[in-house]
Amino acid sequence: MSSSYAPLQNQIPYQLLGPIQQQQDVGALGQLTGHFQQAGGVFRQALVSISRSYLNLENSFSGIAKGLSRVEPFLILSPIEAERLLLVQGLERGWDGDAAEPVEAGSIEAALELLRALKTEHAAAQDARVLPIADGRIQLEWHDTDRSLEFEFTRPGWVAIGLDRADQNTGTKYYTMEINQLEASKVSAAYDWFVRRDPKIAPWPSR
Amino acid sequence: MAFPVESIPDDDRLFRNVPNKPEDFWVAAQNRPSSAAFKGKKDESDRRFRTSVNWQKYKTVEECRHPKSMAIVAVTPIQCRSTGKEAEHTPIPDGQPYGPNRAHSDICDPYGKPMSKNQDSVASSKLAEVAVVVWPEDGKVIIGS
Repeated sequence: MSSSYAPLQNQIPYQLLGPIQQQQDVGALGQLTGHFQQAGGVFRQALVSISRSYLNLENSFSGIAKGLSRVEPFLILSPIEAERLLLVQGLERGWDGDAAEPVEAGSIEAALELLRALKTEHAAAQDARVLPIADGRIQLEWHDTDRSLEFEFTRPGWVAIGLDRADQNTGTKYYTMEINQLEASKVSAAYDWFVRRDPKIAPWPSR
Repeated sequence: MAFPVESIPDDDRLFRNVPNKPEDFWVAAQNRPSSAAFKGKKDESDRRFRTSVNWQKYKTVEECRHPKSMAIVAVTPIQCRSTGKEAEHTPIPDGQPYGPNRAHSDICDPYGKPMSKNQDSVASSKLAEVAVVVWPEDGKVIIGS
């Protein structure tokens, strides 16, 4: 193993690795070196940076999604998602050219928790777009040409909103759902709606 | 110097900056800003969410641009009301943070009627959908520019 990875080896959270990597023992961790070299320095920094707060028990997720436990394999952040989270995490006060607050650590942790909940049932989910909000909160989004799915962190819960523009005669339809206690099934149902896995799925009342 | 608070005509334009970082602020697939660009801060004094904009009467599009702008978009007070929000002129006097700015205005919840989380999210999404790109002038936003 490259000695330059020795410090990193002790900091990579297994929760952030994919299922194949999780099956390898610690002695085989060196085989991952090439993976991280390919992913680049930014991804490494993201892993380390995110892992610092994630692995700190005092700062760990305050609410674990129902149906999950801490010992289950979870959360596969793609390099793109990790990079996006890192970028948002690093924004300084005034990032909007005005008076926007830095994104709070709790927002980053909540985003990780939601992505983990999503990927327990959608391991190949599209990369989430990660947006800061001016008051330090965070928003995760997915878009295609006529549908959007957004999760807005509302401390401590989330609001999910689905936008459907498929019918130009009726205009955009909006579906919303407040999620006070994060549940993987709700997140998954919303994503199912977005990707049209089941066209009958309409998890929210129309507005 | 304090500026008088004025009523904003229904069809006047209110300019909102779309930040260039992260580039996800622009939804290229739908050629519009993210709704996150219309989400502001809660004013603890009256529990209303406020999103800062600049009124065209006192600022040009050029004056609203800065190095952290990917685009400038515009909405009108009547569009704000159609989402359940209101537009208020809230000029910032000299000597206060971000002042003086006579153009400063807020898109906010109706006075005395704070919106629910769901309503606020939908309102932000609707504003992002109706917003018109006023800079770049050709309407072609360069992602991350």
